[in-house]
Amino acid sequence: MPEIRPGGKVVIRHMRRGRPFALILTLVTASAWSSDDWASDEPMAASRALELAAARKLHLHPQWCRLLHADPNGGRSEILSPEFFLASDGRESPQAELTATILGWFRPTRDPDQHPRCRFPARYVWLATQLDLPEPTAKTPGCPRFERWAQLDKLDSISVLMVSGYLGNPASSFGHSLLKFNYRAAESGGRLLDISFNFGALVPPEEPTLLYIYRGLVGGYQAGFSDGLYYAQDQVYTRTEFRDIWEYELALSPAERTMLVAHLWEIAGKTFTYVFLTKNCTYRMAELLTLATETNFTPRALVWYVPVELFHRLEDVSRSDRRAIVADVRFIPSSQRLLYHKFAQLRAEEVAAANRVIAAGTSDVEAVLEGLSPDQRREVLDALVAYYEYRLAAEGEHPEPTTRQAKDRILRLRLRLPPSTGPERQIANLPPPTDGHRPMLVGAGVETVAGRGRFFVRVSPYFQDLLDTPASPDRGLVVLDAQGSADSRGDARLDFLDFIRVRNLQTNRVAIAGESRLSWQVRLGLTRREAGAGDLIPELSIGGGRSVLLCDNVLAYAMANAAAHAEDGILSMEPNLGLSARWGAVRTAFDMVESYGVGDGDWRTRCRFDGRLPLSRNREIALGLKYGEGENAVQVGVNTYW
Amino acid sequence: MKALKVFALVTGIGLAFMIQDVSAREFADIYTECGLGAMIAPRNAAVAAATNVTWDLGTTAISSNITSPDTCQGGKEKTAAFIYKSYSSLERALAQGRGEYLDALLALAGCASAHRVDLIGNLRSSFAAVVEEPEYTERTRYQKAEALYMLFHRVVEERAGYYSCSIS
Repeated sequence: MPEIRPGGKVVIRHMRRGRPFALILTLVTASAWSSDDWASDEPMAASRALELAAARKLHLHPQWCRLLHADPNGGRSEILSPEFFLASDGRESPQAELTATILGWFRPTRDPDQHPRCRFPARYVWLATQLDLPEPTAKTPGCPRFERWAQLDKLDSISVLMVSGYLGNPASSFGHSLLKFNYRAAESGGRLLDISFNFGALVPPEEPTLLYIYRGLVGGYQAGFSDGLYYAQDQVYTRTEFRDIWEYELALSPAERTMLVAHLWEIAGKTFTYVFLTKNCTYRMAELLTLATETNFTPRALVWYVPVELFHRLEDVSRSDRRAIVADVRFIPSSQRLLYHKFAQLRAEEVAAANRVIAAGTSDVEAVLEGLSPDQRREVLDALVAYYEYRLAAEGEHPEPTTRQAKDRILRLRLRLPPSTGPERQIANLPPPTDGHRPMLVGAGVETVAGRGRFFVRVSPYFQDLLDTPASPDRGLVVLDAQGSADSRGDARLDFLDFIRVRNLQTNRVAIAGESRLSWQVRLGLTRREAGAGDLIPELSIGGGRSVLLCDNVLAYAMANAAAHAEDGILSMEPNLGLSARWGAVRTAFDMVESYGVGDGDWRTRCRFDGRLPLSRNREIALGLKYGEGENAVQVGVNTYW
Repeated sequence: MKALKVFALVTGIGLAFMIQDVSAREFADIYTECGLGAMIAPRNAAVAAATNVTWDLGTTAISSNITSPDTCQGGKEKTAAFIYKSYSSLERALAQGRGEYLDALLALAGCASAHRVDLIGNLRSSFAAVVEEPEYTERTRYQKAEALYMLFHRVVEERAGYYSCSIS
């Protein structure tokens, strides 16, 4: 496997058939040579290599298929860009592409950066381990552009980043992932100048949202990897979309890093078909890690490759005896979270002053700050600078003129004071979503309904409710939650089907003037108006209200819901109270709804208690108690997450 | 003696204008040739947020290190792009006089670490004067970024040997 030496030289040594053999693939600055000096006229070596490749069926080798992003059985590549292939039928035929790649090694060229060895370095890194390719000489052209970009001798590590979902847009709720190359901080200027790789769909500007959802689901878009300095991602995810990030720094060997970097060089700018559920950003990241480590990170990508699944898989591999692939997990808070943290660090009089400025405007800031010490004024102005930066980002491309003016007034005042000194107070790390269970739910158990026993099964491809997510204990997102049950007489039914259930509770302890403290929830699904009877009919429920953290582990909310049933047009107004609590590993939730039918004037009460006791990370005992609407039920079951 | 002082003053002012003029042309050229204007998020922010849209695959030259031409890979080009794209974060970092965005700016410009604190201090003072200008709020993003780029170059050039930035 290759190793990196100072100056970016990639040295590949491999043992084959008991004979030590060294092939040095040297990537040097190509300033003192001419490509005319090197031209292979070794037809024998080429034909020998081709014979060996055919004999070993290298075109069917899993690693070759991964390099081409082709079907493992030697089928078509998923890469659409013709420039990725050396053979005219390379996309359809891994064998033809392998032949062209081997022959490419022997091809002379005037422009080294266009030589196949420099266009596809990962292929040759792998081929060198499989074939007896001729040793390059001192005159062998290097790959200056690749070397300059890759900076392999300065590369410390590679991270895969998990970007949190956010509920402002349901399709973004499941998160995102990207790669980052970490260079030595002192020389490189810090993480902002690391190289990042992002995979995303190419969506035309102003695409209608419904069309975009449809095309995203059916593979109607092309997508690809783009590289750039990490600050661009920081600007988008952290400072514009206000999403938290967890950085999983990987413990890869130098050879694995080289393979990953070299392959990204090969595929950057090339297009793939984007499919939201399966061939999404995280799936492509998983493919890359599979290629680099030859450990399969895509075993569950049959129906839906949920972004968090890759990180669960990394944790699985890390916990196994084989290797500790996750070296470290770092939390990168969103700018919104940092803003609230900043305000939480202020003293009461400082918060009051900041909120007075925000509420009343910035025309007389000096008067508001007059009673504060110079250090306090600096703290308040720092908080206000952060606040207005956040507000401008939140207001998008066309912010309010008053916001821009207010920001600049604060900026002027702050610049008149000395720079900040002293250590910055670090925000507490939020546990990553992988500290919780995997996203897909299968549950089964028994229940008594109106005194009769039933067996039930529950499934959901994405189940993260208030009790589930250590990273976001105040948010819940559940998709396609369905439960069916049957009794001993064979009376089977679908009890309910929730297409989507979202709950977003605002629990920030610090109040910032003007910031919404609205908690909201939405549910769309099929439900029965009368327990155990009647048809399932569509229901949409939307609610808003307030929530509060009573203490670190107890959260309470009060909402007012409006619910509409499609079939009979019944509209209900539903005050809703709830409590969610954690005691160690045990999680409990209580929810009560008083439903007032606008049409019939009747009140109906529904209460529900849920308790979960984990048996392992992905298995738990679930207890449910339901009261109301004629269906009092007790449920006991086991939930398994996968 | 008086003549010498006048000569030095005129030369200094002329040099400052020359630096600004060169920097302004550089920024405009970089903006155009390296596609800085296309680096902002697409118009349909909801769509962008939903699929984590890549609105370019390196077709915007400066955003991709791999597919962009070498003419957009230099320290000046990267510094210009950084200032343009991260302007609000740089504003805040300059206000505080510290932060990773300032560190990254100086690293991109290849400034020696020994005198970075002094450089940041000078940059901050000069930037404060820019922010005090009455028309600052009404300037476009391009104008603000251009001004900061020119300002940065002036500060770096005025003590080029001391700050040892590779873009000077």
